[in-house]
Amino acid sequence: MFTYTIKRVLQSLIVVWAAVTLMFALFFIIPGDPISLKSGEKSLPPEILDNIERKYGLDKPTYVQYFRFWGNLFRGDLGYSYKNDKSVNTILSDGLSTSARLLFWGALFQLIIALAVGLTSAIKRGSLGDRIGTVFSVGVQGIPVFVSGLLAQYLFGVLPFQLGWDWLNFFKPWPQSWTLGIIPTDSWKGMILPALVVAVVDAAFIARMLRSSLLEVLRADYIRTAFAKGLSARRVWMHHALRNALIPVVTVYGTSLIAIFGVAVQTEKVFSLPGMGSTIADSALSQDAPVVLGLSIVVISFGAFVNLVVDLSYALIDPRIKIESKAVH
Amino acid sequence: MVYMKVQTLGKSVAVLAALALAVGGTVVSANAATPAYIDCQNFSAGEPDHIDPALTSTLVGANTATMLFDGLTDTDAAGNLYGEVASKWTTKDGAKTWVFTFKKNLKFSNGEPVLPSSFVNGWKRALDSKLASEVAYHGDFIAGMNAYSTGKAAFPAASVVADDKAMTLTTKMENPTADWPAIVSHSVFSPIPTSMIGASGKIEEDGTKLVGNGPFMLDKAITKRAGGEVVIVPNPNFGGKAASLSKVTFKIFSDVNAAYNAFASGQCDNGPIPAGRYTELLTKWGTKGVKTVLGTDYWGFNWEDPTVGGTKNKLLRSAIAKAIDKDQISTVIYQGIRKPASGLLPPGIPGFKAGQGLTDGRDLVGAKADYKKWLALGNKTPDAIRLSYNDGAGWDKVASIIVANLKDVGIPAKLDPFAADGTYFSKMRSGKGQIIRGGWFADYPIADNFLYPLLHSKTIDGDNLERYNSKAFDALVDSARSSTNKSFAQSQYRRAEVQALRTDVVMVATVNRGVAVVLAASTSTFPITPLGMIMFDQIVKN
Repeated sequence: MFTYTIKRVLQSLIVVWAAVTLMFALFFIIPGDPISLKSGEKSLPPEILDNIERKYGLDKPTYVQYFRFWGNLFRGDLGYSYKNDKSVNTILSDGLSTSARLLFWGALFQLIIALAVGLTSAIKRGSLGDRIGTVFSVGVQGIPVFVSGLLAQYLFGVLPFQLGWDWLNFFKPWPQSWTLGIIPTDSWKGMILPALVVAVVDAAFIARMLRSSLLEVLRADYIRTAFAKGLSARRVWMHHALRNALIPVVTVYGTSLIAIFGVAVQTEKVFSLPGMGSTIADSALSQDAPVVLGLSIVVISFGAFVNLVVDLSYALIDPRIKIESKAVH
Repeated sequence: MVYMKVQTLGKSVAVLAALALAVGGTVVSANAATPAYIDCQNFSAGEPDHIDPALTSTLVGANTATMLFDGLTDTDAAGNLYGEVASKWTTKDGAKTWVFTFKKNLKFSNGEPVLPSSFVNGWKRALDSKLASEVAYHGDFIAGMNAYSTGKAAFPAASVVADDKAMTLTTKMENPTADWPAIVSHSVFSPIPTSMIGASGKIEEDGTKLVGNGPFMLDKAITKRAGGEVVIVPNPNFGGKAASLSKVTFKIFSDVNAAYNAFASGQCDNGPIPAGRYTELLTKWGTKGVKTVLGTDYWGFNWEDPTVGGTKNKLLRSAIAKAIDKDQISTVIYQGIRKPASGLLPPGIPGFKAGQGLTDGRDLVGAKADYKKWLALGNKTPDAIRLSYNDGAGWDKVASIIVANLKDVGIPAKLDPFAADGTYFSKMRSGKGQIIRGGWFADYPIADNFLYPLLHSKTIDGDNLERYNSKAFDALVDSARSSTNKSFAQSQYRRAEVQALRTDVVMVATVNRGVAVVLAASTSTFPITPLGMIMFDQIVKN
C-alpha cells in the first residue's frame, strides 16, 4: 500500500508537469499575444509595447521564460498578472478560499441530493417518488449552468424582491465571514444558490447511477439471505446494499469532483463570485499566462490528488480489494 | 390640592413633551445621516485593470481613479472644463508654455499638502518607462517626455517646473498645444504624495498606499477587490465640496446579466442594462441614467484598397455612405441609446457642428445615382465588398444591416468577421480590411482627439485604420493644432472633418455612443460627464 501510494504520487507529479508544460507551450502557439492584445481600439505606440514586454520579461527567448517560470515556482512565486500587475499568489489566496467553499458546499449538496434521490428511487421503485426522481435526473442534467444560474437568480432573487417576499430571496452577496473556514456567519443565504447550481448538474447523474447500482445489488443472494435472517429493511439497505452499491458510485462521484471545477467556473462567472474559476476563465481570454498557469497548477494538482484518494478509498470501502504492487499468484 | 395636582401634571406633560422632542429629534437626525451607495454597473463586466491613475487604461478604472485623485483640470457634467487643483492657467508664447496657478490649502487624504511638486512627482512616476504604463504616451505633448517614457533619456526637468512657493507649475510643450489644459485633465497626470514616489504598479494591492487628493479615498486594502468590491469613503481632507454619500461600494461582476439581476433583487442602487433590453428596462426604471457621450462608431474605407480606396472610387464610397441607414442601426441594434451620428465629432465636443458628414440620414436615391455614375466611369460591379469587424462583440448585427442596405442599391457586400482573438485591430492597421469597423472614445473633450489620431497621415500604422493620406486634411489639422485662437482652431477642425467625410468620404460615422444605467428610485441626482464618468461625489440619494 505504501509503495503503491508513493508510485501514484510520483505519477501525479509527472502528470502535473506535463500538463503545465503543454499549457505553457500553447500560449506561444495560439495567435495573438497578451501585449499586443492591450492595443485594442486605441493603438499603443511601439515603444510603449516594448516597455510592457520588458517589464514582464516577454522579450526573452521562450526557453528562458520557461525555466524562469519553474525557477520562480520552486521559490513559491507564481508571477504577476499581465492585466493588472497583481501577484498570482494573492489572486490564488483570494480566490482559493471562495472556490474551496463553493466546491465544498456544492459537493456536499450534490452528495445529499444524489443520495436522497437515488435511495428514494431505488427503495420506492415504480412509485411517484421514483418517477419524480427520474424527471429530475433527466431534466436537470440538460440545463447549462449559465441558464440554471440566471434562472435561479430570477426565481429566487428578482421575483421575490418584486413581490416583497424577502424570505424567499436567496440572491444575496457571497458571505464575507466564515467560522471554521466553511460555515458562513453572515449573508448565509448568498452561499445557497451558487452551491445548489453547482450541485444539481451532476447530482442527477449520480442519483441515477446509485439507483441502478442499488437495484443490481438488491438482486444478490446475500441480500435475500439478510432479509431471510430477519434483519430490518433499514439495516439491509444501509449496511449491506448501500455499501456494496457504492463502489461504482464513488468512482463516478470522484470524477464528478474533478468535473465540478468546470461547473464551478461557470457558476462563479454567472454569480460573479471572486473565485479561482472565474479568474482563470477571464485570464484565459486575455491571455494572462501567469494567472492561468499559476491557477491551473492548483487545479491540476487537485485533480491528481482526488484521483489518488478515489483509488485508495476502494480498499477502505471494500476490504476484499487489495492494492497489490506484485502480480497475484 | 387640585391646583398642585394640575401643576404636577403640567410639569409631567412638559417633561414628557421634551422627551418626545428629544427622541423625535434623534430619529430625524438619524434619518438625515448621509446614505451609502452600492454601485453594480461600473464593474459589471469584470474587475478593472487598474484604479491607479498612472496605469488605468479603461473608462471604468479611470472613473474610480478620478474619485480618488483630482488633477489640474476636469470636465463637469455639462462638458465645461474647470480647474480642480488649478485656479487658472495662462500661456503667453502661443501655447508653447503653459503656467498653472494652484489653489491653496488642498491636501491629500493623509494630510500632506497638494503642491506643484506633487504633480512633478506624479508625472515622473506615471511616465517612467519602468512603470510601463499603457497611457504614458499622453505625456508626449510635453517637450522631451517621449524620450523619458521610452527609457531613452532622463525626466525633462526643464519642461516641467514646479514652484511650491509661488504655487505654480510651468510646462513646456513639444509643439504649440492650444488644448493642453483639456489634455492635462487625463488621470495619468494626477499628483501623488511623497509616500508614493517611485511606487511600483503593485501599489494597488495595499489600498492604504494608494493615497489621493480627490473627494474620496479607499476604505480598505485593495486586496478586497478580489472579494468582489472596491469601497471608497469621503476624504476627510478634501478641499472641495464634500460628497453627499457616506460610502460608495463598487461591486465587481463578471456577467452583466448577473449584475442586473443583483440590482433587480435589491442588492444595489444602480445596475447595467444587458444587451437588447434597453427599451424594456428604461421603460421600467426610467431614463435618468442615460447620456450621449463623446464616442462615435464608424465604418472606414481602406484608402489603399483598389475597389473602395483612393480618389477614383469616391463615387462608390459616396454611394455606400448614402445607402447606410443610421436610424435603423440606432433603433434596431441600440434601441435609441446610441443616436445616429451626423459627423465624426460627437455633440459636446467644443466647436461641434451637426451635419458635417455626407448625409444625416439615408439617401437611397442619391446612393443609387452615385453608384450609377461610378459604374458609368468604366467600373464593373465589384465582387462582394467585405465588411470587416471583430467577431463575438455583436458587430455582425450592424454589418448585416449594412449588407442589406447596400443590396437595395445593387452593391454586393458580405460579412468579413475576424476571429475574436484580439488581433483584429492589428490586422486592420496592416491593411487587411476593406470596409473597416472602427470606433473611438474621447480621451479628452477636444476635436483634435478624434481627427488627428483617426485620420492624420502620421497615424497610419496607428489608429488611422483606413491608412488615409490627405495633404489637405493634414494641413487643416496642423494649422488648428498650432493656433491659440479657439474660433480659428475650431473652424479648421470643422473644415478638416468636412474634407475627410464629405470631400474624400474616407469613413461613415454611424452612431454616437451612449451610457445607459438603471437607477433605483432612491437616486435623485446621477450626473454623468460627456466622457462617460459618473460623478459619484455629486450623486444625491434619498
